[in-house]
Amino acid sequence: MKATQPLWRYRLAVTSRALVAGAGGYALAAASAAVLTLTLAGSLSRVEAVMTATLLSWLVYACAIAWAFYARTTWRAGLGVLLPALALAAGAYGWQWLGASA
Amino acid sequence: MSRSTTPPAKSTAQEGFRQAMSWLHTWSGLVLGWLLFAIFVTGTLSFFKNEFNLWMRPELHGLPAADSLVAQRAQQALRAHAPDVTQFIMRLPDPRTPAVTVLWRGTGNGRFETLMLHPQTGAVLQARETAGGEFFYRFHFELRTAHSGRWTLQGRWIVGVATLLMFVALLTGVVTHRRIFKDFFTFRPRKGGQRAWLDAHNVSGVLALPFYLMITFSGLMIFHAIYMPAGINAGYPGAQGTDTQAYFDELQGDVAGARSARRTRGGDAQAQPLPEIKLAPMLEQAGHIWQGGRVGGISVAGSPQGPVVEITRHDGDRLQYGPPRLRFDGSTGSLLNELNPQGPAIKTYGVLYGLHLARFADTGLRWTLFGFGVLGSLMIASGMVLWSVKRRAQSQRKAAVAGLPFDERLVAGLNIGLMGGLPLAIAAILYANRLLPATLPQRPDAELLWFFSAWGLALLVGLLWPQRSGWAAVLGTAGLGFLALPLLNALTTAAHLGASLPAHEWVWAGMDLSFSVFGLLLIGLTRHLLHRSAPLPQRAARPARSAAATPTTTQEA
Amino acid sequence: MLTDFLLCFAAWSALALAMDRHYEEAWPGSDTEAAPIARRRQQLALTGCLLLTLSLSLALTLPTHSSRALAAVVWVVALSLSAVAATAASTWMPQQQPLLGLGALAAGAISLLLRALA
Repeated sequence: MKATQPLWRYRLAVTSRALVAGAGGYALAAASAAVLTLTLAGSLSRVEAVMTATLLSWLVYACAIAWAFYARTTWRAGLGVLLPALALAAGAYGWQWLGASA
Repeated sequence: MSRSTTPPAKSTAQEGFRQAMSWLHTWSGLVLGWLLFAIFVTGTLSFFKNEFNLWMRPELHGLPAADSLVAQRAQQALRAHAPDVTQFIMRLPDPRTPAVTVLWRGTGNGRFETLMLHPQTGAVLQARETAGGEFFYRFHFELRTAHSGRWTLQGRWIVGVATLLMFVALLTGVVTHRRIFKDFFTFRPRKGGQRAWLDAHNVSGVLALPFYLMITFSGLMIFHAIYMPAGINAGYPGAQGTDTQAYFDELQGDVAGARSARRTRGGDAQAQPLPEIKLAPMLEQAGHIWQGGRVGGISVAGSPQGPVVEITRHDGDRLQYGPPRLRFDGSTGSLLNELNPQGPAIKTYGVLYGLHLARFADTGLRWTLFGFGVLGSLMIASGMVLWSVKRRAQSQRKAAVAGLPFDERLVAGLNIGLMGGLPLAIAAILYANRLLPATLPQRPDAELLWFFSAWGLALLVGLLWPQRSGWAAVLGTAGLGFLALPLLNALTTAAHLGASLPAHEWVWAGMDLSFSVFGLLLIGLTRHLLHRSAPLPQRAARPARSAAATPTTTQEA
Repeated sequence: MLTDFLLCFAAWSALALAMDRHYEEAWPGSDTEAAPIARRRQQLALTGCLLLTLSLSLALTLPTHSSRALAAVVWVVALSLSAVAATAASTWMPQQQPLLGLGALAAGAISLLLRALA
């Protein structure tokens, strides 16, 4: 995001970071909500677990957006958001799959 | 100011963070700024939704206060009006809404119909068809463009994205404005130009920051089942996908599946007409349990075990939304259960919801929250204008250009049309409410046509004259319109100031008086715009201050 | 709400006057970096913070609202509203700000006293 770069590169960087922030951040927030729901459901009632997880997911989203524009390179921005999102999503699906087979 | 002046290698990590947040702040605000402004303004008006609903139905003027028999009488009136009623939801009168409002459906097409009843006689009230205050309310969360409702889910998604951007803009704004505490009280309108706009934006942004954070966060949470359903999907797996209904049941303190079990009997064509219900003993019991708390509404529906009555407490009685409900067996009158979820997360959600709706607020608090809404609208508007002013200042510094470049012309025009035009559109819908024939078919949609036409007209004016004259034309017309509204009201209805002031009917008089005060404010603003046709020359700041006066928000594109 | 507002207004006024820019506008010509004035500004800042804490604890302990949560909400509303008022004062009547702040403090104390007596 340096103005010294050629314009098209700058625009590409901004667009990709915006995508990481918007879509990637949402994926991370949603995955964290799912995992946190499943984690909390053991100790709280389901509805309390869902609500706690959903309340917190917006803060995750906001942090992900901030990271997407703060990270030094676009690659770091993308990986920093998408890797945890994938890990959490895998965790959520794995958990449900285990729960269904158990 | 521009990023190119900063050294290519970031001096400190903190500086880099602030630069990134500043960039994010500017663009997240700008991208949907006009939409956010419209959402904020119509949402602010929605604090007085009930009052707009009333003002736009002048036929309801002069209704007496309800007595303790209102519910029983309204039920009889409803049954006389519709003997086949199978389900109804009755909202009891309070000082803000003097009529009984009943939503009911019968054995016919299964659709709900609305009925308004006299609080003392139960007589059916005939008021003009109007979009009412519901329009502002619906517009502010789903961009309602037609009375019957179309594209509402799409509208909610767009509003959700805008809300998220505002949430991000607020958080990054705090980071961006490094002097947020140093400049806390600093507003220098006499300096004019960019300095004054930046001050205005900062001050209006920071002073009511708790309100803005609350309103955006709760806005996201209210529709969390649409915007962020991942938690529900994980917690409520059902036979076919997600059992969202079970979630909503438990959210309201009910047993999962309770609602759908009842719904299959209440709404279908085989539903039995309801017998007359003895409401008085249940209301008495509710008053006992709630220790004198007000009853807000009563709903009755059939179930396999006979009719079920739900008495809902008035939503103004506490911070947390929704209000507690008591469920009774309609045939025996015995109390079945109380629905009042109290888990910490649900309570947090309920308080956020309640704060957003502000149903708990008395008149003073309501006006204060309205004021914060106005301040928030000004924060958004000043941010948008600031972007324009800053751009202009930069381009003038580079070269003395005759006329504005296309993009600045466009932004300036959109500022006038979309932000300045909104008061004009609001005036237009209020005029339409009084001037359209009372029996016009599809009258609410005709009112909306006036609203959107006036907005479109203002946009045209803005795009043609993207200067002060454009602002003055749009705001001046709106100002005259608001100033003359009480006069129009006096000419077309009996609910005017001449009648409402002597009778101390503040709900009615307050609307007319507020319209004229707002009109005067707009006219004052217009005079200000016309008298100072050229921007003030910036006073030379003293050296010690000029460093402090350098805007910290960076601008780049 | 009124007591909250008055005490918060006094607090914000003290905090505003603790800043060099507003101190100089209230008492023109004073050298805000000189040691005695710098100490006075520090005291003003401390007073402001203490007053804010005091008003919050009063709002939460004295029962004027149906619930403590509502009292907290009303206090936050009063906090923002009085900040707007204090900013308006330092914009349009900076020289009167010390007097306005003291007046609000006195009025707040009186309204507390009246509430205690009632």
